[in-house]
Amino acid sequence: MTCNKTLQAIWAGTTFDGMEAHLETCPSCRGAMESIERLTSELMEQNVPAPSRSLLPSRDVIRKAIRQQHKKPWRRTSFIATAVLVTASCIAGVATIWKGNQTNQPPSTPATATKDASITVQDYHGKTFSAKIMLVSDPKRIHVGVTKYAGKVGQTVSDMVRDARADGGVNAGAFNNAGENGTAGIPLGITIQHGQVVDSQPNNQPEIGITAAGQLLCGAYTVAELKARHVQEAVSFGPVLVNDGQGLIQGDGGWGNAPRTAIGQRADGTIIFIVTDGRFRNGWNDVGATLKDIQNLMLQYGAVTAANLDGGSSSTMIYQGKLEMPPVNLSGERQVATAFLIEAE
Amino acid sequence: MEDRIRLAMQDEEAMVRLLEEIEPFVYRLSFHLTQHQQDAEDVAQETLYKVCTKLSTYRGESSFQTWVYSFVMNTFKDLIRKRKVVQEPLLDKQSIESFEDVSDAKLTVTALLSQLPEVDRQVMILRFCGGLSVREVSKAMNLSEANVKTKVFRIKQRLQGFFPIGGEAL
Repeated sequence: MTCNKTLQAIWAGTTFDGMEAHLETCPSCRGAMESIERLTSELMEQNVPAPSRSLLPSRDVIRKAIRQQHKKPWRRTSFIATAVLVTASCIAGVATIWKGNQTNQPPSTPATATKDASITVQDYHGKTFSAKIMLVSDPKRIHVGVTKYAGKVGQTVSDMVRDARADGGVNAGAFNNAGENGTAGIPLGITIQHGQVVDSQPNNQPEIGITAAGQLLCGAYTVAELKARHVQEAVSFGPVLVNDGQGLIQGDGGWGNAPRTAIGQRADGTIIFIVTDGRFRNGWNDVGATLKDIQNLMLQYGAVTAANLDGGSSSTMIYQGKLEMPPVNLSGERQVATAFLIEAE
Repeated sequence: MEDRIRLAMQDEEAMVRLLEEIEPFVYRLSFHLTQHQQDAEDVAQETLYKVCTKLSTYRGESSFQTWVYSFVMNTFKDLIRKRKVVQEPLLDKQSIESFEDVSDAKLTVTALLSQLPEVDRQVMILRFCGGLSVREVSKAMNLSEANVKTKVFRIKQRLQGFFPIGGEAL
């Protein structure tokens, strides 16, 4: 009965109380849900060329349209009732939009008050995505988490955070599915955890590592090179976004808009994690971030080094037991092979 | 959103911001419908013009998104009508023997789209690209909800071949 109701809701694009709970327990409905998500993303990921010109009406047309709206008498009672409030809401609206425009600058005060002064989580609202930005002042607190079922299936970031008793974490490196049924069981590239090479699968992507001294390294390194540089923690993804304080992304990066996760470091050692939404989870403008968007955000936050991590449905941020940035999949957190975890103090 | 729409009716900058905000989505949807950059730009431009000049007629009966989509759909239909190809989709029909022949799912979805009757194709784009619910699609396209449901069911049947889709119900 619930299956029927769930499938109807999935296809009709609606939800009901208890739907998520049912999806969690029913693999068949979850499969149907994933098929639809796949269909949507395949349709959405079709290459749409950027428009060759601005599509907005001219300023003259806009001004004229507004003048004509003014001429219209206040017919609606609801309008009259709210007329007094309009002035107030206008001010509020201007304030909100003005604030929205100010997002080019990182907010000076942390949006989320935290007990631990060395970690702050801030909000960013861009045109096509929203992001959570986590700043961790001590880079040595960052460790790689690897699925405890390595070689079989992945684990959610939440589970890895809980198992490691960490303060928080974000999804990290590339992975491959193990066999037919496994998901995210095999990390790709070189994975190093607490100085130990956990895995070294062939992969053409850059390595993203943290040295014993707490320096973030991003680039093409071999295991020997990583060891020579005393890299303690490493995963593999990319591309590298910022090197020596310079942005490396050409154009918009060529990967389109999507939910993204990235890691960066300031000159003072502070680690910057950025996780965004996308795929319309938070409204119809929420297409996600381009690599260029993430690079620029990293530069705004003062990154001297930064690299893109696994994105899409993997993008997740957890802090103090809370999903600061939940994954875009309605079916919940995805199993991943690796995460960056923030060790509790 | 309501406040921002009200504000946009009175303030030039607020109107520009509102239009700029919906521009990427309107264009994207127009592109999916027309499959042609120039056509998509024309449809999107015309839609944004209509939204700008008719904003005061928005009554909040449907969501703003659905309201804007109905303009996209109407503009798109006007374009087709002007070209007198009412029955024929703008897309070239591709002949593919069976979906199993094509390993790339993306190609398959595109092929499927091109083989659907035009109205079904529009329903599919609004429902799955636009993320509208069946009810919202019916409002945006001025079709009955039961009709849209039937079309979605038909699409589901055709997808069955290459997407493992559980269950029978809709």
